[in-house]
Amino acid sequence: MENPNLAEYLPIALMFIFALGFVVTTMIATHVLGPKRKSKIKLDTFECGIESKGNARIPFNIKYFLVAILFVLFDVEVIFMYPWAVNFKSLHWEGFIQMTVFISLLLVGFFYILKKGALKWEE
Amino acid sequence: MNRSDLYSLTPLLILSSAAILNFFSISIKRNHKVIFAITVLSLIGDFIFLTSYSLYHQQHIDPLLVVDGFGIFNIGLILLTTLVVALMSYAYFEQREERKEEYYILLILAALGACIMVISKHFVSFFLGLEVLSVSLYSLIAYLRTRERSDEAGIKYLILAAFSSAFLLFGMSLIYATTGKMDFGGIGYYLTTTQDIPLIMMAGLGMLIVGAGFKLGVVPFHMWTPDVYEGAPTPVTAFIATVSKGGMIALLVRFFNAINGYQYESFTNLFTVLSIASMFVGNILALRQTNLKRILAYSSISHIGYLLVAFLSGGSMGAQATTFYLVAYFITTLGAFGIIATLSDQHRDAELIDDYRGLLWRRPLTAVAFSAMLLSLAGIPLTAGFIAKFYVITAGIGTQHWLLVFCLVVNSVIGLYYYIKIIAVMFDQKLQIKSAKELHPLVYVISSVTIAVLAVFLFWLGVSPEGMLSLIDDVI
Amino acid sequence: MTLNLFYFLSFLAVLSALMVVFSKNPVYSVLYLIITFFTIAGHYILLDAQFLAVVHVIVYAGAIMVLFLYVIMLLNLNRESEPHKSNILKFAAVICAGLLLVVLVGSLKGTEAIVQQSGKAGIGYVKTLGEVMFKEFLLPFEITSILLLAAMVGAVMLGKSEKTNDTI
Repeated sequence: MENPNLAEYLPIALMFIFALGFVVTTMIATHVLGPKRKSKIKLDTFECGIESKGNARIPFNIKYFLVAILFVLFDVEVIFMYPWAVNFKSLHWEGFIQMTVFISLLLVGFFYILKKGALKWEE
Repeated sequence: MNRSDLYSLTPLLILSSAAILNFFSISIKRNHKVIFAITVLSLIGDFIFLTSYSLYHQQHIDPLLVVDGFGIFNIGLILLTTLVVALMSYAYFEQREERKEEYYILLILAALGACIMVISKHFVSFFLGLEVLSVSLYSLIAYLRTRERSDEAGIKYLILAAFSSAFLLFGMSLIYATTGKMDFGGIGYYLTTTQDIPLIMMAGLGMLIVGAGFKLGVVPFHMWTPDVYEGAPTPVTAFIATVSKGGMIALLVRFFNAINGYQYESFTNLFTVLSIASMFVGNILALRQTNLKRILAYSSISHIGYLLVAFLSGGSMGAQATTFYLVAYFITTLGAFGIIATLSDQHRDAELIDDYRGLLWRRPLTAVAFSAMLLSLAGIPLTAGFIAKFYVITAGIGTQHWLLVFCLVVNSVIGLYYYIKIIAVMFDQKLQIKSAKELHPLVYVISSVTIAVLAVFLFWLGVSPEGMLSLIDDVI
Repeated sequence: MTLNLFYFLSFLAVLSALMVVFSKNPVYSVLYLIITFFTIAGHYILLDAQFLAVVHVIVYAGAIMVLFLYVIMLLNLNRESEPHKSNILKFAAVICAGLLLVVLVGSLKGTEAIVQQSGKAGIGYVKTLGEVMFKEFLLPFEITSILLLAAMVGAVMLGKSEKTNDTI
């Protein structure tokens, strides 16, 4: 196995540890500090005072899913920008044109999405 | 990328610009006629451009693509097939009220993917081409969403194709791990430097074959074929049966020639097993079917089995036989599915055998054309299918694959039974009166002319195959 | 240090992957899958492939997991409604997966020498990747946008509800 310079990743690791640690500590702390009342009503699901019924998983609009899929697609598109941005200077104008072609192809798709109202919520 | 590279890639560029044009056109206003016109014209224009290449044209776009005679021939085949599919789609989709326009974008993109695949000589371009093809196919298969079986077919194809892509990728990465190369030439060079293939690379190649086998629908990776064929809209089924499978075969021919895979007994044995299993399973399962699309699905499984016989023969003879078989199979399959598409009505496809009872007396010309297609699938003389099968057998005997040839002959006989059975049903005297909502007769003219042209080609190849043979001889 | 980290990550990865399969509640499976993705990203870093690690976290742990959760909610998978799978099926699955394991382990054994020589230094850095992608592999890069386009049309076409589209 190659031996990368792991020390370079120390800041990221620290960030992760802090993020995780913050969540864990808050969760433990609230448990320890907060008052506990375990009556049946207290443990019930609270839904604006109305008695809750049925399952938490109900059929919902497919539009949420459509938006999520489109988000993934554009997310992947953005991924390609990182290597480009890092090399931006050395790639000169050529790189810029290449990226423009890439983006404009996707813009066509975006235009289509907008025109077809895939992102319109109320219809 | 310089000018001659661009010149060689123009067919792909035309296809992508046609797709973009369609995008704009749909965004501004949906119009089936306009989209159809753009699609057909761009496909024709692309093909005409393609004919401007010399057959000995050879342009390496390193490290990814090679535009050579074989590639150009296959691109031409794909373009023409897509054109035929588009032509017969018009009447098929015009009857339906659902959105019809996106279909053509996806069709063009799928064809683009297949074109990239057949000229690739590198795993990256191969995989990308395959993915463009598959991703377009996912949505094409599920296109008629309101139909009962289409979503089932779409999901099945999505899961299995994604799974097989995973296998392909895993195989590629194992090969890359061993050789450090992803281009076919580099892998071939690596293999010449070693005595026998390292085990890890063997596993990689095996996975590659599993992935390719899924896309080809050879036994034991054939499970999706009947369901997808049945659930997909008929023109899409024709596309899957021809372009998707043919592209993969063309790629396999290129890959195996580059790595000289025919010299390794483990691979030839593997393909022999796949081929024999496909022939028998496909034909035997087809015997009891009553759904025409399923019959054709099983028949396509067995046809891929026949194709593998030619593929296994290797060398230029094998490549020629494979290519000719592909051409004949493309024409026949397109014709058969085209007829199913024209007979389909608004609500369902004409897929049950009973729909064809007495067809000869209702629509004699269609019945004759359909019989011709079926006879060609069975390999009866005077049709393209016969010459193709003859060629495959010659190639098989030339390389002494006796077992394969024997199985092929036995299976041709089994196959004949169910093809004849369909023809017999069409001759049945019992008339069935069916009234479907008829569209303007002009709509049907396109489909009918397309099928007529296909039938003419079928007989022309069956009677005088010399022209096509010398063309194939030139490109290989 | 590196080796210890490797063992730790591998242990975590295998454990959480097993939990994905074995937990009864599909939402828990997804959460374990996120852990698996993170550990794999850690492996990428150990292999000096920083770009892959970042992408893995952003795309998989970030975006794809959202899709997973949506699908689970759409499927309405309750514990009671889970269909009973026959034992033969399970047996077959175990045998197939086991065979794959045997093949992989068998082929990976004793191949260290081969594998090591093929890796170039710094191949996983964002900078190197960008240089390769925008010079040598420019064409695949542009094809990727076509691939994304195809996916986009498919998603919009299949996901958009019927009636609203006939106009425009």
